[in-house]
Amino acid sequence: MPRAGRRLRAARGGAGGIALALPAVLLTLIPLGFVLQFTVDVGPAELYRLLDRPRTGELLSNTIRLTASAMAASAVIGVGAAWAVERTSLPGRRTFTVLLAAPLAVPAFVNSYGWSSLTSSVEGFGGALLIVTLSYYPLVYLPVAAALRGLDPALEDSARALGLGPMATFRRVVLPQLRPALLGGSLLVGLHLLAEFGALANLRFPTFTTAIYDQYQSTFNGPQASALASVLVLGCLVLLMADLRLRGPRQLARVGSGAQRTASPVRLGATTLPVLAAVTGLVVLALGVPLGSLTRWLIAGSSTAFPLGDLVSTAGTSLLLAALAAAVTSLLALPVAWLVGRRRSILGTVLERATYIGSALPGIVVALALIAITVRHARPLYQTTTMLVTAYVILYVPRALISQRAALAQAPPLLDDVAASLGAGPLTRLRRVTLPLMAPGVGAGAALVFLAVVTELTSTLLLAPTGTRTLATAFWSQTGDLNYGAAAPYAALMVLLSLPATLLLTGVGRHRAR
Amino acid sequence: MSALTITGLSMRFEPGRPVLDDVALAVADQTMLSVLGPSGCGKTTLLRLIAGFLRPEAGTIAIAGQTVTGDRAWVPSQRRRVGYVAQEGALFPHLDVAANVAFGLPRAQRRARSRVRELLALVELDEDLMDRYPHQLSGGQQQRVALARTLAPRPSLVLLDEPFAALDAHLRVQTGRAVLRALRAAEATAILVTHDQAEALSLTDAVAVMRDGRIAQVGAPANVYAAPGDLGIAGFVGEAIILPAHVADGRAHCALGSLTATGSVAAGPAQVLIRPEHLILDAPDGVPAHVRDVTFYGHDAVVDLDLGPDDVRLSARVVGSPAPAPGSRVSIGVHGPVRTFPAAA
Repeated sequence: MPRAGRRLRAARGGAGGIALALPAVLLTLIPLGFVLQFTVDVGPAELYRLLDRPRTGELLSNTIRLTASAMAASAVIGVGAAWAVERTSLPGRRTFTVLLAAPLAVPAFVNSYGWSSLTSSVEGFGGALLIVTLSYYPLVYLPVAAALRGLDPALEDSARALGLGPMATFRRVVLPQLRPALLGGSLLVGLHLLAEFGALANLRFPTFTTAIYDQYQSTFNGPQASALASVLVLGCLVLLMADLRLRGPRQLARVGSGAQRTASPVRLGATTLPVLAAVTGLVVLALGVPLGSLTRWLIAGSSTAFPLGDLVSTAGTSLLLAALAAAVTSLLALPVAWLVGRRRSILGTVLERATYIGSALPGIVVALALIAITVRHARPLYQTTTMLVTAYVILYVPRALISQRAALAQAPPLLDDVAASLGAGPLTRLRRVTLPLMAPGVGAGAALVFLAVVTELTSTLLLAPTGTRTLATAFWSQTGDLNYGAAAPYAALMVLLSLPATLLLTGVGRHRAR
Repeated sequence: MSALTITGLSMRFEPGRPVLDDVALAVADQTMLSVLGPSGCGKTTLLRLIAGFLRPEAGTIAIAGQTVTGDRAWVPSQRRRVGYVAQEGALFPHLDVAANVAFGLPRAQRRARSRVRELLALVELDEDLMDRYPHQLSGGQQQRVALARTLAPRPSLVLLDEPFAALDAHLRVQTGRAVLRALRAAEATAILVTHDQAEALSLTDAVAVMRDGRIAQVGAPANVYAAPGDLGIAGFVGEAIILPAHVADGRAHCALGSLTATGSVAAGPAQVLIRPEHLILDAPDGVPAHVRDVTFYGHDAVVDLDLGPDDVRLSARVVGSPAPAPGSRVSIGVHGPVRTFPAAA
């Protein structure tokens, strides 16, 4: 007679699921744990001594100024671009939809190289603001455009019928509904800026992240770098908390869909040309300049030396690391996605949020934490591929998680029950129903991780084993020596590899809005 | 032989609030039973317990003589040979119609299309649909494919969980009939869970009325409608006019006069149940009433009436004859005997 199992189905595999989800969660908590441990160890007095110097004030001012300005600029540009493309009679809207998101395929440090190799006038605050805004405004543009597509035009029609003009309608009806997407996107811009190293180092605009890197490289001054890192982490946590507060209501607001009319576009009339010029100008600055500059250096560089052998080997290393990281990240994220999607417990939600905290911290903090821990407790792991892949996992687990959760929604438990009633045992159900349904989402998540790793610079610079060179680090060492021509092929390859992920993102945005 | 026997089945999801309370039920081989109840009465839980998706707190379930749920016994879903058709159809979205239908067949038979063709014919679907995917089918087609998929492995019992609720009214009747024909052709035993009394009464051989986690009454549809166990059931299986009455010598005296009575109360105060279609508006020596309103449905009409000096309000359903005009006066009689129930406490 079959052994009696547990009474309720809900209890099945609960503890096991949590145990499987723990590795991903524990890994992502390492950076935060490191910073907390450090601040507790040195104590407030020593921490104050480490931070109380004019240099810290300058870094703080630089970081806050740049982050706040870029968030504001990205918000304005992102909303403007999204509105022009989604809600007006702008010619070529379809093309612009893709072109406006495309700057995401150009890593910020490649964008800054494109500009700074043309003119040194982009160094300093103004240039830094210009370039990071051009690199990161799509993080606002994409969610706002998706939200605009999802808005019920009947609300705007009602507002117009109540006597509001187009501008008043936008301000009083549309903008409030865009708020979650707009604020969420802006906060994401903020998190990226706190983490940004390559572009700002290149433009010689010192912030906390670049200062931590310099401290570490020049003196291996652990306490000083760690003290700066703890301030940086504090900034990230502030942004993250703001983001988490926003997330709940936004998801609720998206629930419920139905057949919806598409909005009739606003006729631009006489303002068509200025709007067209503005949008085109944005694309030229964000995409045209870096790609044009890249092409120029590619042509100039290939006439002197084209290091095909080195290009192939660094690309191979990059692809291998990215594939490894994508596989490990997906595998570790799966139990978390399962726990959150199928078990619906508070614990599951807490575990999921924990993975977001880890990945919201800058790559430089993740790298410092891993270095400190391996040097102290696991010396053999120091500067190994294992350590590098671990950093990638910590940084990119949410990318896999988000896709996997969406994928799990494609495989509701009811289908599992139906398959069971048709005679399929647990493993057969997994093989014939759940996995086939989840496969596209898991694959998309793995692809996003893969492409993020290909362009990862900061933690790779710090953690890569001696002799391991990726496209990003090879590019970085060439630009460091001002070999712009020699750097170009590496950058071009990174951009080419990033394009599919960007297209995937625009596709995801469109799907969600439907 | 009994295809399904349930005894003492109890289940609760939170303490103190049983979803199922000591349920007993038997379904004879090759018959179809409806479990009828309002939402939240525990009928879906009952179905999920039979399917083996849930384990009860107490009680036993035996399918074709084998105990599948009990104190010491537990047979997992996949070995119960119980087919399950969900409300939304729940077709596998990654598989086409043929693969969905063949899902439960042994591996060797999955490729052979003859069995799939046979099953599609059984549920009255065109075999051209075989290569379609679920999202390319209408709601009614999806339900029929779901049934074909369920019948493929020849289950000993088919469970249908409100399978027609998501369909619109016209499709609901049509699909319901087709599904029942297919089930009979397959000589299946089936349990249909529904909150729609018309569906329960019209489609199946027997009806089990469920209320607050208990089976309130089981019987043939006509019996349950004509002789409900109590007034709650009476109101649930159809529209009911309930009037206070006094019973003496086989007659009930109420606002509609002295009527022939059957039922549980032989003498004394009682309540009587009258179905709206049993009212006659042109009775020779009936009770005078005033027509307040008329709602015309085409095949019949509902006439709202104010009765006598106390303005008792009731509704009659008239078929065939033209409905009286609002404001006119009619003379009400009752066709056939009325059923008595104990007086309200």
